[in-house]
Amino acid sequence: MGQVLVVEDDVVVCRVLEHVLELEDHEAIVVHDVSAAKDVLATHDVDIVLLDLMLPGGYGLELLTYLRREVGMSTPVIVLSAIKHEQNVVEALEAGANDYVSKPFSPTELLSRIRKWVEGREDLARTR
Amino acid sequence: MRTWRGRGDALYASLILGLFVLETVVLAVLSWAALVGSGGVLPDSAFRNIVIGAVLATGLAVLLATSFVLLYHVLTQRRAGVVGGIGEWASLWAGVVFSGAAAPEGPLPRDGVEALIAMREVLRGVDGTRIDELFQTYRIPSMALESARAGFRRRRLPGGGRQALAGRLDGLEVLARVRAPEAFEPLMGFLSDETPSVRRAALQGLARTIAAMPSSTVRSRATERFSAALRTTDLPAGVLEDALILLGDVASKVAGDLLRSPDASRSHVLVALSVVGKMGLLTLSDDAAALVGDPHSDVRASAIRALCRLGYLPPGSEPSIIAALRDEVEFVRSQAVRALALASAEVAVPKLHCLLADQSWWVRRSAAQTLLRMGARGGAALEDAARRSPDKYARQMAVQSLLDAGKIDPAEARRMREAV
Repeated sequence: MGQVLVVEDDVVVCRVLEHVLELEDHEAIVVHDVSAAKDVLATHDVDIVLLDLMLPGGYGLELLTYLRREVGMSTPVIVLSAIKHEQNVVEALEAGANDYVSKPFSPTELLSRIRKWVEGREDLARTR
Repeated sequence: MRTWRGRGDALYASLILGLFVLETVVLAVLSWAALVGSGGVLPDSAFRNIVIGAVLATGLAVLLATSFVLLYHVLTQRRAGVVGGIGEWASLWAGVVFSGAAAPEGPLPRDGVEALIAMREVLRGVDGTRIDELFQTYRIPSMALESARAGFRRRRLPGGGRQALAGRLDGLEVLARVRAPEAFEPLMGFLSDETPSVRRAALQGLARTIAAMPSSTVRSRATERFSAALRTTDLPAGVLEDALILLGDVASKVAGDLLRSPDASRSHVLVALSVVGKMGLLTLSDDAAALVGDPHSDVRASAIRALCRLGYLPPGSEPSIIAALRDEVEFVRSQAVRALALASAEVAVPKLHCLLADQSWWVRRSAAQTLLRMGARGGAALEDAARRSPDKYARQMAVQSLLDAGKIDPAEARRMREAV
C-alpha cells in the first residue's frame, strides 16, 4: 500500500515490523541509525516514518527536528518507543511527531494508525 | 553495533597511543646509548643489552597491536553471529505469530528462546497472548526455573560457585522477562536466598510478573504478599525503588502500604515517597502530605519533594508546608519553598519575599527561583526585593536571579547593586 521507513536498531523489532507491515502490503525500508535514515529520506519519497527514540549514535528526535525544521518535510512520523513518560511524549509531539505509540504495542492498532496517516496524506495530495 | 565499534575504536586508539609512547621512550634510550656508546663511555655489554631490550619492546608492541586487532575481529564476528541468529529466529516467530506458519519443533536453541522473549516484550494484545502460549508449548518458564534451581544445586559442588550463580541469575532473568504467573511462587522462595544478587533478581522478577497479571483476586493476593515481603527485605533502596516502578499500576498499592505500615522502616518510607513523586501517584498525595510533619528531616524533605513532583498540595496540607518554611534543617526549608509554588499566590508571594533573607544560600536561591516561576506577581516581588529589601543578601540574590533569568541586563543589575 505504501512505503514505510522504519528507523529502529533492535533486530527483533525490525523483523516484527517487517512482518506486520507486510500484512497490509506496505513496503518496509529498514535502517538502524539516524544518518542512514537521512540518506533514505534524501532519495525516497516514503509515505510514513516509524521512528524509535533511542538509537545508536543519536537520539531519534534529532531526525525529527532535522525533517521538520531543516528539510521542511511533512511526511507523517509515528514515534515508536519504549519510553512512556509524559514528558517524552510531549517532547516528541512538539518536535513534529504526528503520533506516539509506546512499546509493547498492538500490531492491529499500529496498522490502523499507519492507515490513518497514509490515507490522510493521499487525501491531501489529491486536494492539491 | 556502532557503540561496540566506537568502544573498540577508542580502545584501539588508546592502545596505539600507549605503544607510540613506549616506542618513543625505547628509541630515546637507544639513541642515547648509541651516542654515549660511540664515545666509549658505555661498555659493549651494556650497549648490547639496551639494543636487545629495544628490539624486545618493539616486538612486544607489534604483538600487542596485532593481537588486539585479531581479537576485536573475532569478537565482532561472534557478536554479529548472535545478532544474526536472533534476527533469523525473530523472522521465524513473526511468521508463526502473524501468518500462522507452523511452529518449529522443540527444544529451542538459546537464540530461539531469546528472540521469542524479546518479541513478547515488544508485542501486546492477542499477539502477545499467542507468544505466552508459545512459552507454555516450549516450557520456557519451567526450564528457566529449573536453570535457577540447578544453579543452586551446582554451587554445592567444588568450584561450581561462580558458574552456578551465573546460571541462577540467567534463569531468574528469563523468568522475569517471561512474566509467567506460575513463576510467582518459586520466585517468592528465592527472596530468602543468601545471595543478594539472587534476591534482587527475584524481586524484580516478582514485580514484572505481578505487573503482567490480569486484574484478579490472584493478583491482589500476589500484591499483598509482595508488599509484605518488601517490608522485610534488606536490599538497597535503589533496588526496591526499581522493583516498585516495575510494578506499574500496582505500585500505588504497594507504595501506599509502605507509607502507612507501622513496621516499615524509614528507608522503605523514603523509597515509597520517591516512587510517589517519580510515578506521579496522585492517589497517595494525602499519605505524602501526612509525612511533612515527620520527626525525621529526610522523611519531611522527601514528602515535600514528592508533593512538588506531583504538582499538587492536597486540601489542608498548606499549613504544614508553611510550618516547614521554619524548619531547622535547610534542605527541608528549601523543599518547602519550592512547594510554595503550588499554594495560592496571595499566601506564597509574601512568604517567599521574606525567605529571600533566609540564612541559607540554598533557601534564598529556591525562594528566588520559585518567585520567578510564579508569573508577573512573583517577578514584581523579586524586583521589589532587588531594589528595596533591607537585607543585603536578599537584594543580592534577587538581582542575581533576575539577571540569570534574563529579566534585567548586566547594566541594570549593576545599577541595582550600586543603588543601595
